[in-house]
Amino acid sequence: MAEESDFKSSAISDLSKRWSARSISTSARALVLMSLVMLAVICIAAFGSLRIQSTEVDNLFLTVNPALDDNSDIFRDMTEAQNALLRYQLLHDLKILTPYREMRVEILSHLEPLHIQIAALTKNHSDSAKASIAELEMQQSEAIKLWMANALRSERAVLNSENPNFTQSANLFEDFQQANSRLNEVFQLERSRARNRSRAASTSGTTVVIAAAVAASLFMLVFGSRLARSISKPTIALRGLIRRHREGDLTVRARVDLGPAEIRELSRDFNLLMENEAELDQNRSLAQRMHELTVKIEHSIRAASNTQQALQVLCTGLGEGIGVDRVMADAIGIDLRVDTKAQWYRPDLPPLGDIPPELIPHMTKLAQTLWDSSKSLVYSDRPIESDRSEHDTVFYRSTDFRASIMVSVGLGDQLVGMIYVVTVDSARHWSDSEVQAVERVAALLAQFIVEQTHRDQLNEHVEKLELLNRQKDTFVATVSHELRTPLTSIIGYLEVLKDGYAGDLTAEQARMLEVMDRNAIRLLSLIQDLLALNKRESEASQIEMANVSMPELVTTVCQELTPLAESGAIKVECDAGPSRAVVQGDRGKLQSAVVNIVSNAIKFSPRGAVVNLGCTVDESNHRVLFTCQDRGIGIPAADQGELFTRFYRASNAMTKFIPGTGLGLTIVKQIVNDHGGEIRLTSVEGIGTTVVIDLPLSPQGSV
Amino acid sequence: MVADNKSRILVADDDKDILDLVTFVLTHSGYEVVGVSDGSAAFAAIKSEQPKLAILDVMMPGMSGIDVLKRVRENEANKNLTIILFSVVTDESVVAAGLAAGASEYIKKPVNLRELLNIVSSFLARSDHG
Repeated sequence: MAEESDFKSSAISDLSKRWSARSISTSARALVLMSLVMLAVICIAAFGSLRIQSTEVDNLFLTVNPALDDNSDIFRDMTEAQNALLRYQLLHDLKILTPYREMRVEILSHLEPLHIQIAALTKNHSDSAKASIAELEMQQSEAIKLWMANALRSERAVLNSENPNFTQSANLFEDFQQANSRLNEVFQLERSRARNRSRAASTSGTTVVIAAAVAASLFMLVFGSRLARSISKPTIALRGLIRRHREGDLTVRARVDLGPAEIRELSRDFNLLMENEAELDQNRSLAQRMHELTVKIEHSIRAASNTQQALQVLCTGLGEGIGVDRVMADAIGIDLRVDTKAQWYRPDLPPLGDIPPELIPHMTKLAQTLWDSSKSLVYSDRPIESDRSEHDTVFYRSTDFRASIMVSVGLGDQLVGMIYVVTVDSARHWSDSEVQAVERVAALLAQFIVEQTHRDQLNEHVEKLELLNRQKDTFVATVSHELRTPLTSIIGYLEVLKDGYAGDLTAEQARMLEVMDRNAIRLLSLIQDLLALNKRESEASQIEMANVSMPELVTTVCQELTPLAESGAIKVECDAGPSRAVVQGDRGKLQSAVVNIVSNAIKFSPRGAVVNLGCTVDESNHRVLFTCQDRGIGIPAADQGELFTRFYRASNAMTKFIPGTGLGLTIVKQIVNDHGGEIRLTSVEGIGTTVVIDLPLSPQGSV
Repeated sequence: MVADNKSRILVADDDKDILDLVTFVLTHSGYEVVGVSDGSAAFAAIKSEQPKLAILDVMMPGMSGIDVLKRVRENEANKNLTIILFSVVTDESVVAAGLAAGASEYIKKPVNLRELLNIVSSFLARSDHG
C-alpha cells in the first residue's frame, strides 16, 4: 500500500513537475485556447437565447396574432352579417342584402387563412393539442356553415314572405359565437405562452452569458497570474544570483528544477557560464601562483653558488610548488654526458635510483631532440604498454612515472640539461601554466649553467694567471738572487785586484778591470731594477699616506745626486719652491720617483751641462708641479709615446751606451699614478727634455 | 787595511768563491778567519772556536744563517757575539727578521769590500771597548 501510494504520489509529483516544467509558450497557447473556448461558449449561449426569442416573436407575430386577428375578423363579420340578416328579415329591404352577401364572402375568405395560421400555430404542438384546436376550428366552421345554410333559408323565406325564424338563427349564431370565443381563448393562451417562452429564453441566455464570462475571467486571472508568477519568481532568483556573482561570489548556481522550461534552460546556461568562469578563475589563480613560484625559484637559483645547488633548489621549488611526486634535474655537458644531477621526491617516497646506463644515451638524445625542436614532452599518463617503444618499456619499468613534464634546458643551440616533473601514483592533467612554469625555470637554469660555466672558466683563467704571476715573481726573485751570488764574487775579486791585493797593475790592466767593474755594476743595477719593479707590482696598493713637503724632498734629492752630477761635471740648479707645496703620499716612493727622473737627466746630459729642478704650486687647480729640465740628447719624437712602457729604451740611448734598464720610467709612472698624479714629458732631440710630475696639492696645507 | 789585532772571525757561506773572497780579504786585513760552508758547521764552530764576530750567509743548506743566529742567541753566553748577516736576499721582511733575531747588521750582497771591512772593524772596536 505504502509503495503504491508512494508510487502514486511520485507519479503525481512527476506529473506536476512536468506540468510546471512546461514552456511559457505552451502555457500562453493554452491560455489563449482556453479563452477562445470560453468566448465560443458565451457566443453560443447568446446566439441560442436570441434564436429562441426570435422564434417566439415570429410565432407571435406571424401566427398567433394573425390567427387572433382572423378570428376576430370572422366574429366581427359574422356579427355584421347576423345584424344585416336580422335587419333584412325585419325590413325586407333588398338593399340590405348586398352588404350581407359581401359579409358572407368576407367570412368565407377568412376561414382559409385562419386554417393556415392554426396549422402553423400547432406545428410544434402535440397531436392531442393539435386535435383539440382542430376540433375547435371544425366546430366554428360547422357553426358558420350551419348559420350560412340557415341564412340562405331565411332569405328565401323572406322572399317567400314566410315568417322568419329568428330563434334558430339566434341559436346558430350563439353556437358560432361560442366556438369563436373558445378559439379566441386558445389563441390568447398561445400568445401568452409564446410571450413567456421568449422571456424565459432571454433570461436564461443572459444568465449563461454572464456565468460564462465570469468563469472565463476567473480562469484567465488564476491561470495568467500563475503563469506570471512561474516566470517572475525564478527570474528574480536569477537576478539575485547575478548580483551575488557581480559581488564576487563565484560559487553561485541557479536551481534548474524551478519555473517554466525556458527559465530552466536559462538557469542551466547561467550555471554553465558560472562553471566556465570558475574554471577560468581557477586557471588565472593557478597561473598567478605559477608565476610567483618561478620568481621564487629564480631568486633561489640566482643565490646558488654552484650548479649542483641550483639544480637542487630548482627541484625542491618545483616539487613543492607544483605539488608533484618527483622532480629530477640533470645538467648535461658538451659531450652529452650528465655532469650534475639533483632530485626531489615526496617525503614518503624512496629516492629514485640511477637510470639504467643503456637508457642514458637515449635520454640525452631525447633532450637534444626536444631542445632542437624547442618543445616539451607533456604526458597526462604513461603510454599504454602496446604503444611503448622498446626504450619506453625499459624507461617506465625502471621508473614509476605516470604523468610527466619533460623539458630540455638549453641556450642558443647548446643543450645543457633536462628537467623531469612527474607523478607516480596517479595520472594528472597538466595545466598550461604549470608547463610554462617548468619551461621558464628551465630557461633560468640554462642561463645559470651557462653563466656558471663561464664563471668556472674565468676563475680557472684567473687562477692560472695568478699562478703564473706567482711563478714569475718567484722566478724573478730567484733569478736575481742567483745572479747576485756570482756577481758578489766577480765584483769582490775585481775590487781585490783593483786595490792591488794581488800585486800592482799596469795602466792597461787597470783600464780593463774598470770596464769589467762598470759592466758588473750595470748588471747589478739591472737586477735591482727588476726586483724593484716586481716588488712595486705586488705592492702597488700599499702606499703609506702622509703629508710630504716637496721643497724638502727636492733639496734632499739634489744633495743625494750631487756626487753623480759632479762625476759628469754637470751642474744641478735647484729651486726648491714654496713651503706650501705639500702633497699627500709615500715619501720614500715619491723620492725614488724624483731621484729616477733627475738621475736620468744627469745621465743623458753632456759634460758641463746644467739640469734645472723646480717646484711650483698651481693654486687654481690645487696641483703641485715638479719640473726637471735638462739640455741632454733629448728623446726622438717617435719614441716618446712608448717611453713609459717597461724595458723600453729610446733608440739614441741604446746606441750611445748609456747605462739603464728601461725600467725606471715605468716605475716612476706607477708611483705618480698611485698618488693620483700624472707625468708629462716634452722633449726635442738634441736640445733637451723637460719632465713634469703633476701631483694633487694636499688639502691640509704645509707640513 | 791594517788589522788591529788577531781577532777571530767566523765566516759561513755555502758559495765557496764568496767564502774564499771574504776569507782572503779578512785574512789580508790581519784577522784570523774560520770558514765553514753550512749552518750546522757554523753553529758548531761558534761553540768550539769562540769567534769575536760571525759573518753568516742567510740561505745555506740545512740551517739558514738566521736559524744559526737564533740558536746562538738562545745561549746567554753568546749574547755579546757580533753577528753580521750577509746575503743576496734583499727582501725587507727577511732583513727585518734577521735584525729582530739579533743580527748586528744585515749586509746585502754584493758589497763593496772596503765597506765590509769598515763595518767589521768598527764592530770589533766597539766590542773591544765595550
